[in-house]
Parts: sequence; structure tokens; C-alpha cells
Amino acid sequence: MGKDVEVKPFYGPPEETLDYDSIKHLVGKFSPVRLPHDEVTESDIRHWCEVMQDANPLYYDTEYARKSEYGGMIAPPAMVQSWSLGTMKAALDQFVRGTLEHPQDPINQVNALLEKAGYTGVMATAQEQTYLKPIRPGDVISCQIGIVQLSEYDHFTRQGVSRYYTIMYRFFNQDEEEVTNMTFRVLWYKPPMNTRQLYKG
Amino acid sequence: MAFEHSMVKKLVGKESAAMPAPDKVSKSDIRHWCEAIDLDNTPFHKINWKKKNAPPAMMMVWTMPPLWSPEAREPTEPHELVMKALDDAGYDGAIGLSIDQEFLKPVYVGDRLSYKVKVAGVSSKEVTTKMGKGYQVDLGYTLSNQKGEVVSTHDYTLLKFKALKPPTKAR
Repeated sequence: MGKDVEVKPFYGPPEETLDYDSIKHLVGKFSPVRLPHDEVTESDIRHWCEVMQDANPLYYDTEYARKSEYGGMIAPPAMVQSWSLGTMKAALDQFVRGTLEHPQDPINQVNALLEKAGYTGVMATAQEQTYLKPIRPGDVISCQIGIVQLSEYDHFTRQGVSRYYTIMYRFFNQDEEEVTNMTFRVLWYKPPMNTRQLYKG
Repeated sequence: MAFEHSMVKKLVGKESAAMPAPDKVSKSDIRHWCEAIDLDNTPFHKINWKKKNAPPAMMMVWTMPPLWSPEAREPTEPHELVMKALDDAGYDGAIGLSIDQEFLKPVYVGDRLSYKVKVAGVSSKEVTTKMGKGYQVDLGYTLSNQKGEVVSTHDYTLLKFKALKPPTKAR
């Protein structure tokens, strides 16, 4: 009982922190606009509505939708991200094999720099979508991702020492009209030592 | 409610009306399927869809009933009535036993299939399996495209069974 308690010094060596100036040039930069792998289809809309149990007739009843203010069927606006999702292979490459499809994108460069600086924990904190135009079956929704904001200094949160960043997704249709934009706020944190030890096993 | 074979006997040999597939054959569904079985990952805009037909083994996908629908409907077709009679009698588990598929014509993107289901047979006695006791149901599917050409037929056998209760732990 409390025999071999290791007493650690209160003041550890100072941890290195990320220099905002070294990363500043990437803030505000966007990736190129990339084509999706699929176009918007009625079957994908139906699958989504089935899973969400969304009975809005605008998404499946052509007759109803034609008489509505939209003048035809539309896709659920909240479904926007599914039109530009990468392939399963790309996801496996990223999360299992650790190789990226587009390592030179500003967002990926920032991710790599944050990880290198020890911010290895990731937590999604907020997402906001603005719907500018309806998306319809047959549309081709392309997407670009940029980083619009990054904390200049460290935050001290319960997750540990951390930085926020806000990324922005912009979605365009085949006529190059912006249909939706989405901001996504992520907390990158340095997991405290006990968390790190837990994950190391 | 107990299940008696006579309840479904009059349904054997009967075929349903033609039911439309919920969706048209679509590029995205083909790509998702190919991706899941690791066949191909080509983006849709790089494929010549006029020449490319849908994978034949995907045939059942086009006519699968929805998971959930805003308009619930009562079972009316012979095969649905058989399933309902078995469900009501407590044979609520289902497991596919075999499927024989025949592919007669290629299916292309944009085709809208429809299908008929025939109740080919229901086992006359309760069968005992490792899954539990149940009845074996044979169904015959006929899939046609919008021109009325038969594109594929399936002979499908499934077991509707009363799932065995897990053994209770002795205390």
C-alpha cells in the first residue's frame, strides 16, 4: 500500500510548442476543386432517407416535388458530404496504411505539421453547413477543402494542450455554382502522459 | 398461433404481380458494389457506360425491398403472405439456403427492372435444423427489364425458423 510510489518532479522539462509563424502561410489556402466519384443519384438519396427514416416527399415523390417551390426532386441538403466522399480505398490508405492521396493539399500539410509537433489527438468539435442552392439528382458535386483558421497559441483543455483549426469545404455543381459551404472545427491536442501510456498498452 | 401447412398450400404455385424495382440501375450503385468486393475503383466519368453492363451477380441488388419506407404497405402478394403466416406462427428467423441464378440478358445503366415472385413450394413438414425448427420455402424470381425482356431468373430457397433460445446458465 503506497510503498513504491514514484515521486515525479513537479516541473518537467518544457515541452516544445508549435510556432504559428511556421504554419501561417498555409492558413487561407484551398485545395484544387476535385471531381466526385459518383454523380447524385436517386438510389443513393433513397438509401440515405431509409437509414435516416426521412419521409420528406421532396426526396422521393417526383410529382409532389414538381409542384413544390423547387420545381423537381432535390437531394437532402444534409447529405452534401456524401457526394464528394473519397473511395473506400482512399480511406483505407489514409487511416490504415497512412498514405495520402493528395499530401500536398494545405489541409494535409497542416495535419502533418501538427502531428509532428505532438498534437496527436483529434477531436471534431463543431460543424456548420450553409445551403446556397438545391442539389438535384444527376448533379456532379465537386469539392475543395481549405484551412481558414488556426489557433495562434495553445489552449489548455481537458483533453490536454491543444490547438483548434477550422477547415472549410466548398461544394460546387457542374455549372460551377457554389451549392453548399461547410466549416468544420477540429481540436488537435497533445494527449496527457497517462492517455499516451494507455494507448501504448 | 400455430402454423398449419394447409394455410399456405393454396398459395403454392401462385405468382405475384410484377413489382417495380425501387430504383433504376445506377452508376453509383455499381461502383459501390465493385468497391466493396474490391473489383474496380474507376471513377464514373472515366467509364463508357454505353458499352459497360452492370455486373450480373449484382442482379438481386436492383430488386431488393427497401429497409424502411415512408408508406407502410400490407402484404398482398403470395410470397409475402407465406412469409407473414410463418412470421405470425413464430418462425421469424430467416436464412438463405441456396440460390441458382440464370443470367439471360445484360442489364445497363438506366434500366428499370421489375420482378415477379412465385411460391414454388413450402416443405410439408416442419424440418429440424441446427438453427432451430422451421419450414423451407422455395421461391422463383423472374426479373424483366422495361422492354419486357426477361433478364434473369433465380431459384431461391430459404429457411424460416424459430430461433433456438440460448441455454440458460445454471446458477
